Amino acid sequence: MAVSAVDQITSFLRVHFSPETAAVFLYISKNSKSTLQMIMQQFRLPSGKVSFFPAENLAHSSSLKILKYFEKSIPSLAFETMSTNNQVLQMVQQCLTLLLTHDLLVLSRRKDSAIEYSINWAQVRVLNRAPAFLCLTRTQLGHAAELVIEELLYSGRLGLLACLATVAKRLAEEEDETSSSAAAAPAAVDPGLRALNAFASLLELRFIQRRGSVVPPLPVADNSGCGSGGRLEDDDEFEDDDVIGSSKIYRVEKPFAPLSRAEREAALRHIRESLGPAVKLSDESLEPPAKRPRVAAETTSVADARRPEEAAQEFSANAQQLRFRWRDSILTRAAASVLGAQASRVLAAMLDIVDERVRLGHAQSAESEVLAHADIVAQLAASAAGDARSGLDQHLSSLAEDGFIERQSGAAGGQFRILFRRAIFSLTRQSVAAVIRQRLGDKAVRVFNALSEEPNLTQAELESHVLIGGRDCKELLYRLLVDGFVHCAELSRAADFMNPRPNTAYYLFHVNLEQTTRKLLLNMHTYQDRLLTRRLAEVATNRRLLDKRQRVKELLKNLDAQISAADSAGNSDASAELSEQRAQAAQLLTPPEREQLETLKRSRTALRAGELLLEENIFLYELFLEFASQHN
Amino acid sequence: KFIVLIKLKMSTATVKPDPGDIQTRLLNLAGQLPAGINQAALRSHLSDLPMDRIIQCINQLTQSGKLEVLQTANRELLWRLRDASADRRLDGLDTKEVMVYEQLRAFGNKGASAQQLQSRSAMPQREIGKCLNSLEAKKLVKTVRPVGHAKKKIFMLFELEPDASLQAGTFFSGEGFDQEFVDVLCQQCTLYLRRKAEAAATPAATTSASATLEEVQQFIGQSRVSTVALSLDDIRRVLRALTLEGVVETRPGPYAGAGSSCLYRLARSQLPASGDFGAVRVPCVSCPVAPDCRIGGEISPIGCVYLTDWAKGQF
Repeated sequence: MAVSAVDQITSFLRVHFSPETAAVFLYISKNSKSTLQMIMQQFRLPSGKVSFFPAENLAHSSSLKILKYFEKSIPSLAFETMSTNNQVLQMVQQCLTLLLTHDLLVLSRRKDSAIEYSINWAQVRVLNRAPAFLCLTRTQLGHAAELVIEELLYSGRLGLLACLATVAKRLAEEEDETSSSAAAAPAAVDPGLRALNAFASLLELRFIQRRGSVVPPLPVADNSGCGSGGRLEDDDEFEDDDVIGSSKIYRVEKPFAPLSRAEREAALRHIRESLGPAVKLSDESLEPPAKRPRVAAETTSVADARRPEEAAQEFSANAQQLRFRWRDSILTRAAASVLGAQASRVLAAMLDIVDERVRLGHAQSAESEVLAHADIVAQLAASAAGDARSGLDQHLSSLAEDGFIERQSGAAGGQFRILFRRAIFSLTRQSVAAVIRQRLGDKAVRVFNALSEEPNLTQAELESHVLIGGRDCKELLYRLLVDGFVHCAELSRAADFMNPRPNTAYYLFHVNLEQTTRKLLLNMHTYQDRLLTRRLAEVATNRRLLDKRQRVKELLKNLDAQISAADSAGNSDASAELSEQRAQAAQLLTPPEREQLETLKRSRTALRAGELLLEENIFLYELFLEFASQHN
Repeated sequence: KFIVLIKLKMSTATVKPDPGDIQTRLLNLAGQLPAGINQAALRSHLSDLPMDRIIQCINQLTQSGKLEVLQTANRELLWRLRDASADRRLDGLDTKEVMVYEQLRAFGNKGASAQQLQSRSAMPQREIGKCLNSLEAKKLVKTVRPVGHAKKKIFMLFELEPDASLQAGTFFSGEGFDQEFVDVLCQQCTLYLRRKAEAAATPAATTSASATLEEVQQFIGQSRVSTVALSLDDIRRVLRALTLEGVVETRPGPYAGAGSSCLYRLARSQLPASGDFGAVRVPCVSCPVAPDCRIGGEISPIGCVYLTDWAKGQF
C-alpha cells in the first residue's frame, strides 16, 4: 500500500478522533499481526509511566483527502496523563474498538490463542475513494441516498435511528437554506420520509448492509469479558487480552434483509422527536401493505423473534457493491458514448439482471452468466427504458461488435453474456491511447496500436506499418520507450551473444499493457496528490476570507430570524431598523472579495472534478490489473 | 600429269575467302539462329572457313553494329543479329561495355549490382567498374539505391523504371518517404468517411455510414490529390494507418468471407455527439515538466500556471 494512503488515514484519525487512535493505527500499519501486548509495549515505560507517542512524520497537508468529511470527535485521554497500565490498556482497547468499527482492522488468532491485528488495506482504499462513491450514489440514487452513504462511510457503522436522524436533519437544513434564499415552495416530500425511502432503497440494492454492532469494552473494574479473568491491579503485569473478549461483534444472518414495519415506524418516530415540531413531517409513514415484497413477511417475523443483541444491529456501507456499481457505471457510460443512449440502456438492463442474480447467490466473474433474450426484454419492460426494446436486436448486435457482450447462441432470440474482462481491457487500452495522444500526438498512437496488435516489430517494419517517415518514427518510438509505453527486446544476430553491439543486434519493440498500466497508475496517484495539494493550499491562502464569509452568513441569518420575529410581533419600527442593519451587514463583503470567493469556488470545483476523474481512471486501471492477474 | 598437278595445287592452295562473303554468310546464319550464334554453330555451319577469319569478320560486324555480342550464364559468347532499329547509342562502345550493357538489359528493371555482374561475366571487378562508370557518364546506365539498403548500388538501364521491390512504391519520392503526401491522403480519406457518417441516418447505422475500399479509391482518384494512380493496396495501407490512429474503424463487409474487403467508417469517438472518458483533461497528464514537479520545489502544483488556467476554464 502506498505510504500516502497510510498517512491520510493516520492524519484523519489523529485530527478527528484522537492522537492515540492514530498512533495505534500507525503502529499496526508498520507491524502487521501485532498483538495487544506488542501494542501496549510501545506506550509503556519501565517505570510504569507511559510516553506520549512521538509526533510521527506525517505527510504534508496534501494527503488529508478525507479530512473535511469527518466531524465527530471523541474525547481522548492523552497517554501522558496515564500512570497505570490499566488506563493504558483501556485506552488501547478503545482505540482498537474504534478501528474495528471502521473495519480498518483484520483479526487473526495465533496458535497460542493470542489475537493479532492487521490493517485492512481494502477498507483504507475504500475510505480514500469515498468522494467518488458519493458522486456515484448521488448520480444513481439521488442526494438523500448520498447523505446516507456519507454518514455510514465516515462513521464506520451506525444504527438506523442515528443515521436517519442525522440525514433528515441535514435535508431539513438544506431545504431551509434553499427556501430562504429562493423563496421557493417547500418540498413535497418531507425530509424524514425522503431519508427513510433512500435508506430502504439502498438496503434493497445492497449498497448498505446490516452489521453487528461493536460493543465497547467494559470498564476495567469489570473484567467479565476478559479471557484472563480477574481484576487487573495497578502496576500489575497485564496479560494479553483480546478485544473480541471485551467487545462483542455479532454476525448477522441476513445482511440485506429489508426494513421491517417496526423499524420504519421506530425510525419515523425518532426523526419526529429529534427534529422537533419546527419541521413538518408527513403522516404517511409506510408503504401500502400490498406493495411490500413477499420476503418482508418472513423477515418481519424473524426480526420480531431476534435476540436482544440483534436489536442493536447497525448498518454500514457495502464497499463491494459500490465497486460493482461503479464498474457498471463505467461500462454503461462507455457504451453510451460509442453506441448511443438506447444501446447503453440495453446494457444497463443486462447489468441489472446480473446484479439480481448475484443477490441470489451467483458469483461475479470476468464474464457474466448467460442471459436470455426474453430476460432482457422483460427487464427493459420493467425498467423505465421500455423504448429501448425497439431495435433491441440491432443494439445487441452493436454491443457484440464493440466487445461489450458476446452472443452465445441464436436460438429463441439469442443468448448473451457480458464480457467484463474484455470490455475493461478495451477501455484500458483506449485510456492509455488517450494519454499518449494527449502527450505525444496522433502519430504516437499509431505506433502504440501497431505494436499492440503486432508485437515484436523492428523499426523498419514498424515504419511500413504506420506510414511514418524514418526519422519521425524513430523519434516517436524512442519517446514512447522513455515514457514506458513501449518496450524493447534485444536479439543479437552475431555469434557473440555475450557482447552484443548495437549494429549486430535486432531491436524488437512491443507493448506490455500490464506494465504500462502499472506505471500510469502510479502517475495518476501522483497527479491526484498534486491536485489535492493545490486545492488545500488555495483554501489555506483564502482562509481569512472564507472565515469572514462564514461570519457574515451567520450574522445575516441571525438578523433574518430577528426580522421575522419582529414582523410576527407586529413591531414595524424594529423590523425596519433590523432590515437596515441587515443591508449594512450584507455590504461587509466587498465586491472584490466576492469576486475572489467566486474564483476560489470555481477553482476548487475544477480541482475536485479533476480528482474524481483521476480516481475513476485509477479504478479502471485497478480493475484491469485485477483481471490481468486472474488471467495469469 | 601436269594438269592434275595444277588442279591439285589449285585445290590445296590456300583460298582466301572474300570477307564480304564471310560477313554475308555470318549475317545469314545469324538470321537463321535468332537466339544467337555460338562457337559450336560457327564450327558446324562455317566449317569450311578458317576460324581466325570468322572471328575477324565477327568483330567487324560487331563494330559496325550489325551483330551484338552476348554472354550466357555459362559464360559462353553468343553473337546475335542486331535489330535495325536497335539503339544507335551503343555505337562507339567497346566490346566490354557492350557486354555489360547487354547484361544489364537482361536484368531488366530489377537491375544488378557490380557483384552480380562479375559473377555473370568473367571480367574482373575493376573492368566492370570502369565499364559501368563509362556507361553512366554516357547516360546509358543509372544507379538506384534500394529502400532499406542505402549504401547498396544497383545499376540498370537509364530508361527503365526501378522495380517495386527496389522502392516502397507510391509513398516515396526522390528524397525518400513523402510524409506530406501521406498526410494529405489521410486527410482526404477522413474527409470522405466523415461526409458518409454525417449523411447517414443515425450514427449507429453501419452500412450507410461506411465505405468500401473501392469507393475510397474512387474518391481519392476524383479529388486529384495524387498525380499517380493509387492502387487498392495503397489505399488499404492508408486506411490501416488511420485505423491504428483511432480515426477509422473497420467492420466486416456484407459478404464477409467471399473475398470482399471489409467496410471502413469513421470511428465513433470522432463523432461530435460522443464524450471523452478519462483523466486526460487534467493538465498534469500532458504537462511537459511533470517529472520535475515537486511539492515545495521550484516547480510545484501550488504555483502552477497550467492548473490556474485550467481551473479558470481556459486550458
